[in-house]
Amino acid sequence: MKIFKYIITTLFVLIVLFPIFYTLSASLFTLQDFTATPARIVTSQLTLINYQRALSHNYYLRYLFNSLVMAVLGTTLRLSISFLASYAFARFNFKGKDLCFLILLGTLFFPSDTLLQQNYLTVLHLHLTNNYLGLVITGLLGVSQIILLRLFFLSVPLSLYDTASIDGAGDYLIIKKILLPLSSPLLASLALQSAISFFNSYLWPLVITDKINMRTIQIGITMLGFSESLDFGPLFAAISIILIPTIILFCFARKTIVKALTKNYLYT
Amino acid sequence: MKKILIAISLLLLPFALFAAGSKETQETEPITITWWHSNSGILQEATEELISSFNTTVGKEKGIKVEAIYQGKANDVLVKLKAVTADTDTSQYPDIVQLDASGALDIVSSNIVTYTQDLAEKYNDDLSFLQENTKESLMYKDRLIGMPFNASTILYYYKTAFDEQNLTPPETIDELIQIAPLLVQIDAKGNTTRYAFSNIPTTYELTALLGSQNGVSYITDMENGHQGTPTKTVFKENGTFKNLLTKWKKLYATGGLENASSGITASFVAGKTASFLASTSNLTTIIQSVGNRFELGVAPCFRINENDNGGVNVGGGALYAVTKDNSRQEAAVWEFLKYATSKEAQLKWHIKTGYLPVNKETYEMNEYKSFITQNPLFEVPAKQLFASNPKIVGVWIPSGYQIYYSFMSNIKKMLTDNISVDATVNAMQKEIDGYLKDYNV
Amino acid sequence: MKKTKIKPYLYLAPALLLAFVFVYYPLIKTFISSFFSISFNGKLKNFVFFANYKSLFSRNELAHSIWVTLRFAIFFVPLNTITILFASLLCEKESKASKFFETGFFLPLALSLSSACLVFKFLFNPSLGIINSALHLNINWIDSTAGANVSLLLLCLFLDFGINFILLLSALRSIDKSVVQAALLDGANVWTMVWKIKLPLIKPTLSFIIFMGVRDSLLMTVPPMILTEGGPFNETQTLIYYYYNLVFRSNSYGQGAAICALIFLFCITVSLLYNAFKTRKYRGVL
Repeated sequence: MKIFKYIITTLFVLIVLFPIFYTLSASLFTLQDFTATPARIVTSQLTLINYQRALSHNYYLRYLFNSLVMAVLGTTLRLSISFLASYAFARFNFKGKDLCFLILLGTLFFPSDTLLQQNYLTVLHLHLTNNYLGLVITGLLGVSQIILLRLFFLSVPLSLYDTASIDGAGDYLIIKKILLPLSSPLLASLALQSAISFFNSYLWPLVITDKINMRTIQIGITMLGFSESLDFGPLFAAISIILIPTIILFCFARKTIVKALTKNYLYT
Repeated sequence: MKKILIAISLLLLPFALFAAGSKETQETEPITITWWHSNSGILQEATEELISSFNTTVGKEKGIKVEAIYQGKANDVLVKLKAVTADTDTSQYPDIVQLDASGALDIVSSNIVTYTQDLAEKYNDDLSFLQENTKESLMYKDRLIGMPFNASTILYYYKTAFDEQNLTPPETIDELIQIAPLLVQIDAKGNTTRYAFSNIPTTYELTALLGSQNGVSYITDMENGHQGTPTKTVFKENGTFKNLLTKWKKLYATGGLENASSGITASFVAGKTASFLASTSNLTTIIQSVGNRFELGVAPCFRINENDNGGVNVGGGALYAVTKDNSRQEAAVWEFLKYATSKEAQLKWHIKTGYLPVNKETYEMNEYKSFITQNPLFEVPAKQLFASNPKIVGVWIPSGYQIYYSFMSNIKKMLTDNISVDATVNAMQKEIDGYLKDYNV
Repeated sequence: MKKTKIKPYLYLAPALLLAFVFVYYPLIKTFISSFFSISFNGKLKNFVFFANYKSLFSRNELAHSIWVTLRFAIFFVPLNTITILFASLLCEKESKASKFFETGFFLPLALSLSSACLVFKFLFNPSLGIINSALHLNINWIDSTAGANVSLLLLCLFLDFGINFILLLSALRSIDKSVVQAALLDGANVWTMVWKIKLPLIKPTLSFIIFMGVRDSLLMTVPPMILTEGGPFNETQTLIYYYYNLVFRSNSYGQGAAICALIFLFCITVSLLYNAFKTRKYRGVL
């Protein structure tokens, strides 16, 4: 019975991972391999020429760099803004508090893709196109993060806050010495999710950049332009260049990543 | 208070970073002109070669540097152009855009572009070097709006499968109807493993297939939009569409026609279809993809009626100069436009890509003649071009994407649901007239 | 004391500013512009009242795209949930082997969105792709309605594996062991175990995954854009992708704005209904 289970699971995993295996294998194909019939699974000759061609593309590394900057910058800003907002909601009572919360909550109801055109015009008039800030700006509002962080801050025992206040600590110290350390697992998981989301974003960077040195890797890969000629080799190589380190990272950091991703759902 | 300061400084951090990504210095001597294009793969390599040869020769002399940016397909370039011109800050605009026929209507109904004819007159240069057909294809109300650059015509690709049956490429669609059953291969289960021909005609093919009838024919009024914005279709009243569809139905009845709307090149390379219609701009790409798998041949596009003598239209794209109110930039742009259409540059471009030279003198060059001798495939489109009536022009319409779709889906339905030719033509006329009317509101 | 009064507003300021500039402002502006005809570069031209809506409804493309989207969601959500559930149930028991399997099911996340779309585009190429070749099929995965929708479906199932799998797995593993033990003692078989015990206990996470699945499939844009480019004759043109085409390809800004306005109204209605439903439920309980 157990063997049966193992066999099924193995088959399942192999099927799910097939696209990844194929990507890696195809990165070694020659042009003729791509148009061979019947289609090939392994290359006819081991050659790294596709990798050469991908890397020699003037802007490939730049695209990667742009995506990384976007992920880091976006995540940092987004978390900071969410953190501040949640702190305000959790620690203060002020007029219009509920109204403000409702305003923020309301943004969740409208799909951001439909606001694409208008937001583009706004950013254009602000002269933020082709600019890192412009790339991340529409993703900086993370209302679900605000909700989660607020819940967390509310769950911190009041006594902790009071002790700190009595000692004369202002908001800065409270955050620095108490909240940040306490919430770091939660922040880590939110950061990871934000980073993945920024790294994967496609439509907004597509619309907002027309300078080649500001493209992100998601757009850049589709624009490497090799696929037009049925010569997919450099394309697969380009994908593999990002894929391989990511796979290695995932394998080694699996436990940490899993913990990070599931932590915040304990609060749902 | 400190908290607020930290928050503010965090928010200001990106401003320090973004300086890395945006404006270039404007005070250095060489002018940079940006060229937005849609040339990918081999075409992109050719583009890079062109601009680097310019930058190291004329560009160096005159202090001009050209930067070419791939923006996606031709339609994407247009989309980006429209997007960026929504703001009046011209520093973000490109200097040159390469667009195809789908962008022409937007060009003429706005004042984003400075017409090539105006530039030529301003700088006292002659445009007579331009090959007649390519020039005519870019005339609007008798003025040349863009500089022809990558000219192509439709071409019929085939070969080995035909040789096996001792067949020559069809000159008329009736011939194709006759030979189609000979080229079809069916496997034991009754599935067609190879079709004779794969295509569903849409805007691109129709301009030629309809245009060559009766000497010269149009799809819409206003000479396909070259004399003004089209207001209605004329393909019903001039009977061209009916001619085509009647024969197309017969072709389908032979079982040799595949109703494919995409992936046809891959299908051809894999041997699943014996022939297809495509642009000459795909020539070098297809040569490379086919490799030595089988022998490739090209022939002029087939005629619909026996006595059609119009030939085909010039497609491809042109280079348009974006208006920027900066005479230094404008002069630089004009220099590059002249270079890109010079006979040597066009020869190199032709050899690498398969696009037809737009400069008449290229065809006279010895290097061209020897290239043609060694690569006879390249001569076929040229001959077809010279035999064509320059008045057959590409169609400049709004809602290009929807009209393209309307042709395709109606023709497909006609074949798969066995609808009558007249009903199909009527349906298309109604739909497309509707789009044209919407636009003219 | 006064300082404290301003502080919360200051802390909230960035978030509120972003909400107004990038959500509410474009929302209202789009809504308003749906009643105008819009020029080449986005400027409002003339007030045309409902003309844009009329054009939108006069053709069946809108209805068709809604149908395509719904049809996709109906297949995607159950398949997605079942596949991931199945995978996580298989890996539930922690062992040396399960670590290997977990990593395996987690790896699809390593392939980023556009990369995955491009890879699938080649895998499913009807003439040259390996799927047709290796399985000796002749299905047209890109140029036929059924084929295109299935390849799109498979692509999205692959894309959704990473995070959802982890969530479900953790939820399963955090089930109280004693409950499982008790059920085993009572003689529960595999089927009862899963259906009657485990599923109810992971309901929150499961609901979350289903909810996200519904939301993602209704709003899906990028996979059809890259994989099928709207499919043969708009057969994979989902609603938002249709909007994108209207605005960025056909330049029918007015109609695009009209679609947005309709989507907004729909969202507002749904959330109001949901609120009403929730309060009624609680009122019933009380």
